[in-house]
Amino acid sequence: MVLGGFAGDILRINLKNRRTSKEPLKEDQARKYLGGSGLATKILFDELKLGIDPLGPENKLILTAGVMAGTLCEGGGSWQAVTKSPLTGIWAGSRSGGFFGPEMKYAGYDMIILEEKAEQPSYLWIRNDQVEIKDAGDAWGKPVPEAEAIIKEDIGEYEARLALIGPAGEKLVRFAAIVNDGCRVAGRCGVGAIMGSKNVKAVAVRGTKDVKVNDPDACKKALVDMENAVQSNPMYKLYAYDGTPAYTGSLASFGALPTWHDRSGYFDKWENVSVDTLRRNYLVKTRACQACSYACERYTEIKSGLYRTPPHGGPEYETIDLMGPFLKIDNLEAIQRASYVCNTYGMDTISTGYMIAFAIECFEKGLITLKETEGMKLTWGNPETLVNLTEKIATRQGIGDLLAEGVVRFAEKIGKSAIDLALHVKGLEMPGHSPRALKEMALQYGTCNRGACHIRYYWVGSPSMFKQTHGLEAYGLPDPTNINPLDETKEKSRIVVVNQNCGNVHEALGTCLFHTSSPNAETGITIKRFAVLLSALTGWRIDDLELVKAGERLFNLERAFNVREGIRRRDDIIAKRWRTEKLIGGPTDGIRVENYEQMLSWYYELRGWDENGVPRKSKLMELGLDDVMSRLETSGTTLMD
Amino acid sequence: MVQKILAVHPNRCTGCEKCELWCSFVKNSSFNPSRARIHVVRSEPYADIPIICIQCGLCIDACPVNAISRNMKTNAVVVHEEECTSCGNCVTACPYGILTLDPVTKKAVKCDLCDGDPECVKHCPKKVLFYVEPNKAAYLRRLVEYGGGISIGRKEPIGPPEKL
Repeated sequence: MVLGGFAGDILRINLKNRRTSKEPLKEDQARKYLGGSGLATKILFDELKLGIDPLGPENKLILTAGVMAGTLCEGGGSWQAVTKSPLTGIWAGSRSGGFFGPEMKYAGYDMIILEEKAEQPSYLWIRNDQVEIKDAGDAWGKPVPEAEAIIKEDIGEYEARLALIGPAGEKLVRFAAIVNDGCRVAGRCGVGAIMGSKNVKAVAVRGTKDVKVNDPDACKKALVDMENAVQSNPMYKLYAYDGTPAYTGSLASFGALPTWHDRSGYFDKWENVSVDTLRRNYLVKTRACQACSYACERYTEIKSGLYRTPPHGGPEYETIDLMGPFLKIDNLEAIQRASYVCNTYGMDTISTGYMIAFAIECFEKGLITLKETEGMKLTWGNPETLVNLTEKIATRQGIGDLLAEGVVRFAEKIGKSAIDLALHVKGLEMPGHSPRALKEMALQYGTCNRGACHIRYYWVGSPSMFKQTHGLEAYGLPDPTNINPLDETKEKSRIVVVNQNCGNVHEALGTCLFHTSSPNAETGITIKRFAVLLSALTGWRIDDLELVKAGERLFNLERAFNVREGIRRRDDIIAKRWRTEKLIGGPTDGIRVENYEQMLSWYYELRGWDENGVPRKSKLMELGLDDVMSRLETSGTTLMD
Repeated sequence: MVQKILAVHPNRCTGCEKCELWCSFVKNSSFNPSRARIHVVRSEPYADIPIICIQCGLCIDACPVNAISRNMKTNAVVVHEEECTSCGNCVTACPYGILTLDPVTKKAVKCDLCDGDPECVKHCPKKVLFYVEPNKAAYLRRLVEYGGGISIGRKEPIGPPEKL
């Protein structure tokens, strides 16, 4: 029987002694952890020693493409970087789109594990079975587009796909990103710094092997059904016409658009940074990742002026908010310029935008002065502050060197009461969804395994805000009709649990989140549709309930990784501002999170964890994580029954 | 009956490579764009465009063992794999770079119009590809010629599929 879908091999590269080895993917493990980022998390849990330095040689960087990557599954252009984050010190999974992930599969690998550290700046060149560690030469120190051109010239293979870091990753900016195919980015959690710490500039891949299919007839049927489900989805219009920048307007109308370092949920000049402004003035065309019907990438250009920018991908909604309203900036050109700098220097736009807002607030409160900023006045609504600081962070110059350390380290360094102003969870800076206007987002920020994240694990906010279920009713999602975004009830805890479990399914399978968005089970890529395609690809008889169970297993596995590193209830508590201060202005004026501790306790109860946020033995055994349980106990974690 | 022709509408392609993947899937029951008989070129700063075989037949004359011939029903130029000796002369002759040696079988592979029902056309999400009667195809070719053969990008976002 053909085990289709998977490429079949795991490639392990020891950068220090330059040895490479291939291990066959174990089918039972692949099924239990759904392959991709799920299996990568298991490998990381098994192989990483407790408490290692994320930027040290003991850390491992796993690049992985899920079983759906490179097949025709909608959104199958995805790949993930899984590692221990230099920003948060805990588990990190960072997704990107494009064509790099599928190319890994065509070269024959489901996973590439990078171990140890190369002696000098290098890049990897993988062509099917041939694996080389090459001298990075002139590419080192160059921004992403130039480095990509140099490397392609060097290997003489212009059809190769590259995932690479920019100067920010080389300089170990703690929120540096890995960029692939021009402007698709694995941004969050600083995965680029890990690559930089290993002295690896790029991974170049070219593959000409087949991704096999177990049952072609069933597969064709499932794929046609998927295409119809996406084309008939009411969300198609949003993603194809407007892409993510459409959210600027809709979140502003709900008062959920983080503004002015999240002091407000409404920006009065939001129309200046809206999708209409973007489309009217700067849009060149729309572009797609592999096998995507939507093509949500906005390809934009600023032809002239101070912020002239060549054609490039972006900005996305998160960038627009964090670099716009969040700083009270309504100059879309400056936002695009800063986004372009982030993409070419290889940095997360969310964390970068956040750090600039934090610096401005610290400056305003006198926690940093003109001395630290080298005479630069940091003010709200100032496009120059945005572009200057972005460049300073990317090159670690002046105050940028300190800002590049992330919000927690920055706040510790300047001392005083700075840490009370920091809007983060577990060290990851907040993205552009107001946790006060959307109470389930507060809980999602608190409990997401990589820190304050809006996107990992399904559409946490949309059931109550947009009344969309995405077909999750079958897995315990409460009927959203009468649920108010502002409620702080047990239903909210349930929404978060169901979303997180189900969301880990497509993360591990290696597809994009956007195709799963739909009003109900009729359209969109539901978990049922994933199960049908997965069965046809692999030959497993797998149903949607098994997938959801696996999703819960993976969530608990990630939590177990974090628990072993010392994460407990105190780390799940959200920032002080969200709990004690009220939002100012807009539709959500006067709102704060009042009942967080209670929601968190309900959440633990629904999860089968103890009051301290540690999974109970009964839960781990129910999920078949017995080996994880005993490893946790050996490492000194006390588990309740 | 007048034979239909495969043609491309410039400016609409988003570069998703679905055509390549469907092609390789229906021909080989596996996913592998390097075995496809249609290729999407993405070139910075603007271009995304599918390169198709126009069935010109230059490869027929280039083949030393007569392994390539024209199917009179569909007007497609087809390779008879069992007779192919993998010499590569046809690849040399093809001005569009669309005829290649399959990386797995090493035989020449090219578009055979799926026996008059091209799969790539059916699954293109933005309706970039058309299988239409000659005069409509000629119009589309004029558009390509006008755009210098590359997709120069659309100012407006791509709307719902239009009927040609």
